[in-house]
Order: sequence, then structure tokens, then C-alpha cells
Amino acid sequence: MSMLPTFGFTQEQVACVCEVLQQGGNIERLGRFLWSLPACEHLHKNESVLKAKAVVAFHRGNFRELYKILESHQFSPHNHPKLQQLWLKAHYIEAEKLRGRPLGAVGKYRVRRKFPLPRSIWDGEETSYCFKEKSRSVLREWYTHNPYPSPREKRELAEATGLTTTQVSNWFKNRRQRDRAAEAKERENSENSNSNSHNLSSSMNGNKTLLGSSDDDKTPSGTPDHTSPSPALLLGSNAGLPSLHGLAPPPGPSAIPVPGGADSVHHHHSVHHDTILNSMSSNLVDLGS
Amino acid sequence: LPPSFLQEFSSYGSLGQNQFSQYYHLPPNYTSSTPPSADEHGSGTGAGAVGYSAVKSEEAASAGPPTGAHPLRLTRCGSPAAAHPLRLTRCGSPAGRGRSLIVHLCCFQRVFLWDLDETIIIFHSLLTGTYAQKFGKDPATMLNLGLQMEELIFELADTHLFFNDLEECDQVHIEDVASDDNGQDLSNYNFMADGFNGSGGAGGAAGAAAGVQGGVEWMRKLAFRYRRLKEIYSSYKGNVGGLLNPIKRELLLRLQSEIENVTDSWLTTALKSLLLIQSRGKCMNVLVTTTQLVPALAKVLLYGLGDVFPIENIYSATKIGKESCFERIVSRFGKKVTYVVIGDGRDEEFAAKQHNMPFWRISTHGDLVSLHQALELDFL
Repeated sequence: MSMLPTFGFTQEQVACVCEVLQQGGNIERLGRFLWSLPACEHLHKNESVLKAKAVVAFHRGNFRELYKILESHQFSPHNHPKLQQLWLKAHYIEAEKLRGRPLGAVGKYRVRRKFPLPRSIWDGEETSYCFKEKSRSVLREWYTHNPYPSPREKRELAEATGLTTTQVSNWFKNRRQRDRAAEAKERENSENSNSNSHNLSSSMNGNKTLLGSSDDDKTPSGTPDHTSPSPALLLGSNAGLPSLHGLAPPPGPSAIPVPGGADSVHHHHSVHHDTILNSMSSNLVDLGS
Repeated sequence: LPPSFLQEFSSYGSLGQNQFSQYYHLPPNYTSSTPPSADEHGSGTGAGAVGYSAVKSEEAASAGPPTGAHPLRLTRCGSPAAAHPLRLTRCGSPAGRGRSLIVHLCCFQRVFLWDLDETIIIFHSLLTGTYAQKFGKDPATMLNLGLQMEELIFELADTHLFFNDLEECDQVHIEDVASDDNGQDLSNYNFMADGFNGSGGAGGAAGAAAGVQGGVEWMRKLAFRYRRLKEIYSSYKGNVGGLLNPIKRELLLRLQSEIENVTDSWLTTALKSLLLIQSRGKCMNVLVTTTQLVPALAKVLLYGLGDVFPIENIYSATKIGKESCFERIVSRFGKKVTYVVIGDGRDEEFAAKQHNMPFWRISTHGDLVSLHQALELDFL
């Protein structure tokens, strides 16, 4: 390839060549072309030229250079998607090299958090989603009719959207959770501006938390004080006795910790006044089943 | 690929070898041979699902000639098969009547979308005086040349290209009414007296009835005309003089030469790029003009561009605009191809932007020269 004695291309023509070679995927040739450009500052600030340089830098694995270009110049919105992809891909690749193995979705998320898109290639609003807009709108539409699709419906949705049933399930689960969180936040905001507050709801929450933590904790059989939701555990707290098939142990104060414990999961604290007898009978019932 | 495969293509059915050889330069070892004897996939005809899936196997592609309203047409780009993997892309035009399914066996890289007037040829600006003004030429001389050319254009259009009949039913592309064709033999068909424009030889009630626009019979006659147009173009694209009487032939030659003179060889310079692109084999020249189709064909023939643009590659944007034309072309060649728009501004620049296609502006000779240089250096 011979160079022209005086460079014969206008800036517009240079930009055109950059676009053509990029779109055609001729990155090697693009690199050579860029190298042949005269050292005119104005030319090298042209957006098409900068974009081309970014693409070449990425192609060559010259990521430092790539980041520098992407951060150095305010790019117009219609170039944002492509440049965002370059930024992200380069960071993913670098992270994977450090990790020594490919990045999963969470890994990529962490990379995006660590290296947020510079405002030169992102307007702060543009989001690119993992699922296609078409799929997302199908899921959203469905959600408004029924936020709890059955397994079969999930399969149908998976087919309609081109996703797996796991992805569909996760999408609905996340959506419900986020809706709930948003709603709770909404309520909290309106409560704070309200003088009213619901005792019930706060103690309900309290109960849930208590039970929640006990659910998570391992309940050692030797601590009858623990609120245990499981009737079997109540039995088991009498060490040495056989399991369900055995006879119910004689009730002692220690054997049944908080009588309403098990029921509280479902009936909150309204059952706290249950008698020991009640709890026993429920245990007996369990024994029989 | 074995040479025999490509030979089968070059002699495909009733389309004739000319149809193909004009598209590209065949390497010398390809000879046009007899149609293949094997015909395992005999149903490889027609458009739609059958025709399309049929070409996915090499054997099916060599099946019999097309029938009916949607001929399945195969075109092959001319790059040596060894160098590039062959790729099948569908390039039927989208919605609307009369689309024949053109399937490209493609390893296309680039499609160049050319504007005609004031990009490749200088014609309109001769008449308006803008060329003279811009480049400091004598307006009177230019106007005179322009007028003479204009006369030739419309005479050719009226006499040989059915312009009288077709002026009111302009099409975007030569194939647009093909679906109304019944494929009958036209060698003895009398276009003058078939009652198409209501003033047919039959006269009276029969003539009047046949002249009703939009009827099935009328559509068929329309389709005949476009088919004949195609035949005429293909036959005379390298030798438009054959359509003119000796006097006009002389006049044309003189006009071409004089226009080249006063425009500082504008057309010759443009032709360099066009021919270079054509010689690449993996690249295609397509014409998108705001002139009506029939006059555009006349212009192309008279300016000697017939060998550069096969008739299938000519689109008239008069009715639908350049943006829509580009869209049609993209759905014909696919999205994997890189498109380059070349024009003198206005519509094509905007249309290119809408489709995110790179645009090469032609304002002066220098732009044509730079274009050629860029092509030679493999920048485009």
C-alpha cells in the first residue's frame, strides 16, 4: 500500500473510510489506514476517526489506549451503544484474565460496578438489558395479568420469549420482590408523612424477624427455650426419645418451649395463649400421620 | 467447489447465460455447458418456501427452469469459490406484488449505492446551467448539449422502451410487476395493438374494455411490457446504437464525446470506480435514481453504462423515495454486507444516514478521483 505524497482525502472522506472498514470488519486494514493519516489534530478529533481508533485498540488488546480514547472525547449518543460494548468487553476480558476463568453474570456485575461507564460514552440513563425488549415486554404483559404463573405457564412463556424456564422463574421472582420492596418503600414514605402508624404491622414485622432468625439458626435439641416452629423438634427436645413413631413424651414444662411457637409462623402472636394441651394434641396428630 | 457446480448455474434454465455473465467476470475456465442431467430435486421451482429451501442444497439448485409468476432466480457473484466460502442469502424484495425471489449465492462484501445524475453522469445540470456556473463553462454550449441529449433520451424511451404506455404506471424496479406475468411467448406479440392504452387496433368496445387500468388482463399486458423491456435492455446494453438509426447513432457518439469534453471527462472518471468495483467480484454496483425507471434506463443506455448496471440493479426512487429504496436493497442483499452510498448530496445523504450507511459525497472531479484512489488502495 503506497502512501499519497500529499494526503488527498477530506475529513469527510476519511470518516467515510473509517465507517466502511469498521462495518466491513476489516480492522487490520483500518489500523493501517489510521496509521497513514497525516498528523492533523483536527482530523484526529473527528468522531468517526476516534471511534475507529477505539475499535482498533480493542482489536489489538491495547485496552489502556482504548479506555483513554473512550474517556477523552464526548461521543454522540448514536455511537454510545457500540462504545459501551467495547468498554465493558475489555474490562470483562481483563477481569477474566485475572480470575483465570470465564466470568459469570455476577462477576460481570461486579466488574460493571467497579468500572462504571464513563459519561463520555453514556448519558447516565441508557441501560442495555440482557433480555431482548420483545421478551421483556411479553413478560411484563403477563405479569400485569398474573404475577404467579404456573409451571406450565412458565414453560409457555419460556417458549414465547426464547428464554429458559429458570430465567422466566427468576424474572418473575425478582419482579415480585422488587415490586414488594418498591411498595414497602412507598408505604414507608407515606407513613412518615402520616401521623398514623400500625402497631400490628410493626409487631408483625417483629415477629417475622424473630421467627426468621430462628428458622435460619440451627436449633440445638438441647435448648428448649428456643422458639421452634417444628413439632418434631419439640419432640426431639426430649433427648433420648425415639422419633415420630414413638409415643409422645409426657409433657413437662421444659419439653414444650413457647407453646405458640409453631403456630406463630402462621397465626402470629394470637396463638400465644394456646394451652399446653392444644400443642400436645397437634403433636399427637403429627405422630399419627 | 467443483467447477461442474458453477457450470450448472451459468446455464440455469431459461434465464440464459447472458443474465449471469453481465454480473461478473467469469474466470476463463468456466464454460457454459449443458444443463445438468441429474434432477433429484425436481420441485426446486417457484418462490416461497419451496423455492427458497430448495437452494439450500447444491443439487436442488440445479433443478429445472422456473415456472409461473415467481421465477426463482439464482445469481452468483463472481469471486473464485476457493477463496471465499459461499453463503446463501435471500434477496427477495419485501412486501408488494410482483417480487421474484432473487437468491444470491453470496460472499458479498460491499454494495455501492450510486446516484445517477450529477454523480455518474452530467445531464440535468447541463440544462439548468448549474454545471456551467460551478465550473466556469459556457452555459449556452452546455444547454445545447443537454437539450440534444434530452431529446435522444425521450425518443429512445418512447420508441423502444414503452414510455408512452408506462409513464403513468411507473415502477420502482423492473421485476415489480412480474407476478402478473403468465410467461407466454412474446416473440410474435403485437404491443402496438393489444389494447393496452385503450387506443388499440381493435377499437370499439373491445378496445375500450381492454384499456381499463387495473384489470387482470391489463396487468398482464403491463407485465409483458416490463418483460420485453428487460429483454431489450439486456440485448442492447453494450450496444445502444443498435436501437438507433444511423443518423442518431452518429449524433449520440458525437454528443457523448462532446459532453465528456466540456465536463472534463466526468463520466470517464466515474467509470473508473464503477469498473474497479465490478472487477472485484465480491462487490456490487447498484443504481438508485430519482428519475422514473424507463427514462433512467434510457439514460443508462445512452451514456454507455449498460454493462455496468444489470437491469436488476436499477431502482427508481420517484414513487417511494431513496430511503425506502435502500430498505428494499438491504432486504435483498442482507445485513451482513457493507453498504456505501455515493451521491452528490440531498436525498441520498439523508437516506444513508437513516440507514447508518457511510456516505461518499461527489461535488467535484476531485471527489471522483479520490473515490477511485480509495478503491485502489482498498480503503473502501
